[in-house]
Amino acid sequence: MTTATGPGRRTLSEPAPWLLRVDPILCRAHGLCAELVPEVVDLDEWGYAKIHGQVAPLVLAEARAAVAACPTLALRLVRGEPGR
Amino acid sequence: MAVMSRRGPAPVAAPAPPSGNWRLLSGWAGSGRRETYREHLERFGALPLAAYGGGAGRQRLVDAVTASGLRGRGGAGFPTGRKLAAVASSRGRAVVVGNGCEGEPSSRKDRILAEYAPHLVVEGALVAAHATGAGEVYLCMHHGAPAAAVLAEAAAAHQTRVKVGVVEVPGGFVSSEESALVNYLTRQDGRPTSKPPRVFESGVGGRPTFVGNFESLANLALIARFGPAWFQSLGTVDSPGTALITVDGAVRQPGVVEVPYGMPLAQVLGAAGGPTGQLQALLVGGYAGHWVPAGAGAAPLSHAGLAAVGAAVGVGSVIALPSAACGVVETALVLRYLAGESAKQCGPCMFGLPAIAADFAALATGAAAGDAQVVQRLRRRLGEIDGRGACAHPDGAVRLADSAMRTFEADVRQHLAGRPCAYSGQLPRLPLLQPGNGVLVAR
Repeated sequence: MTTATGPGRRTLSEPAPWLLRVDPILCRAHGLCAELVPEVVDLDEWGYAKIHGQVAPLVLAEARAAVAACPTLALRLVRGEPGR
Repeated sequence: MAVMSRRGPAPVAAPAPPSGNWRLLSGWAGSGRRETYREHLERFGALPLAAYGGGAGRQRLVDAVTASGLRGRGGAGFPTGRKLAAVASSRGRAVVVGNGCEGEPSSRKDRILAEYAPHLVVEGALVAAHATGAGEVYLCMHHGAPAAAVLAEAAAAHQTRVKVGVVEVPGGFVSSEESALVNYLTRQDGRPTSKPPRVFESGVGGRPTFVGNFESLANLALIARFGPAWFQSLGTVDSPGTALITVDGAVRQPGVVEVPYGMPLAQVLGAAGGPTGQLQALLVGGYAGHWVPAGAGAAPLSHAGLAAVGAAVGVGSVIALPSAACGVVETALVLRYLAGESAKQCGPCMFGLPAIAADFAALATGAAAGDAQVVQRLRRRLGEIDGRGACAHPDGAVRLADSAMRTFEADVRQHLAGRPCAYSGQLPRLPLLQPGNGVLVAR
């Protein structure tokens, strides 16, 4: 679902922000994402991707590059509300 | 004025609904054994699915469940009516899955229910199938569960066009999780899957799937008969009805009790014969639940009541830890167990849980004495792991460890200072990994 709901409800003209989502089963701690978009991804002590916050327009291209670079295709770029 | 119908026998007067605290287990409470299908029908009356015929009838059934306020037993207490509605409105023919796996060693209620009230479980699944338009039902129990045969025999007694199967799934903690069940039924792989998709949109074979705990199903069988107002005559506003609670640890009669939601924890212990001595803490909601101090005994066992003391209903078990025991040791053992039960699919769970368990073990044994970083490291890792698995397994371990550090804070400090309590060397007190004996508490 790409429509925003809940507390951060937006109008139709104002889409939900871009988010990176990591599939925790697919992630194998290659770490390329954290190299490419450190603004959004860092790594835990075992090297697995941790996403924080939304993807600002300024780093959208880098986020796309991270999605494309992930060797296990564990990253997706979606519109939605930050949270779990 | 009643005119006998020529189409069939005169309807038997519907029996009155169960009036005491025992509802789901009223058959057992009344006769002390599992009742036959005939006795079951005499006690509860026939399942009135014909009264909910057609699309409008189905909607009325879903509305009745929604109005009842019944909440699921998946831990978060998701409203069952909303789940039914979501499955019913998803595209494709729905599937119903009854979850009686009970991978959690501290809970025995689903086995008890399958053994002593199998017909309510089967009927509840038929209610869910009717409400969602499902043509097949899978009632799942762990491989080798003796009650599976009882349930299969009970299912065979019901005349229905719905296909009802009893499925024995692999044992293990995480294979009871709903996406793991669906994964097993679809691909014979009993490991959780990533969300989205949620099973209500895409579950067994990609079809919308209603997964309900056996207890929720049994409640559906009663709500379909006696209605939402009766259902709410016990319990609280936010948690109506009764709860099957496994009470264990330092109580006189460990076993499964049925109590109205809202009963204070201390009274729940009383229903299991009361404490055997002085208590220091309660483990509420299972091994993936929360420790609370024994002083929290006045807290009502309900979703809101337990949230107020930093706990949750979880799997609905309450374990009493006596004063003569070490909470740090018990927690370390449970954490080691939980780490071993990881499906080892997600990094934060696969590596994080053993790391937390190792630090807790070091605290417990005194190996961490003088190492102030242990607590800092634990806290950091708890924050880092939480919410980062495909299923909630790592979150459960985090809850347990976090609540232990709060509830046994003074103990933790003593252990760190190289003064582990006198009970550290004793055998653990929690019924860890001991197979449930299925003892019911006498009324």
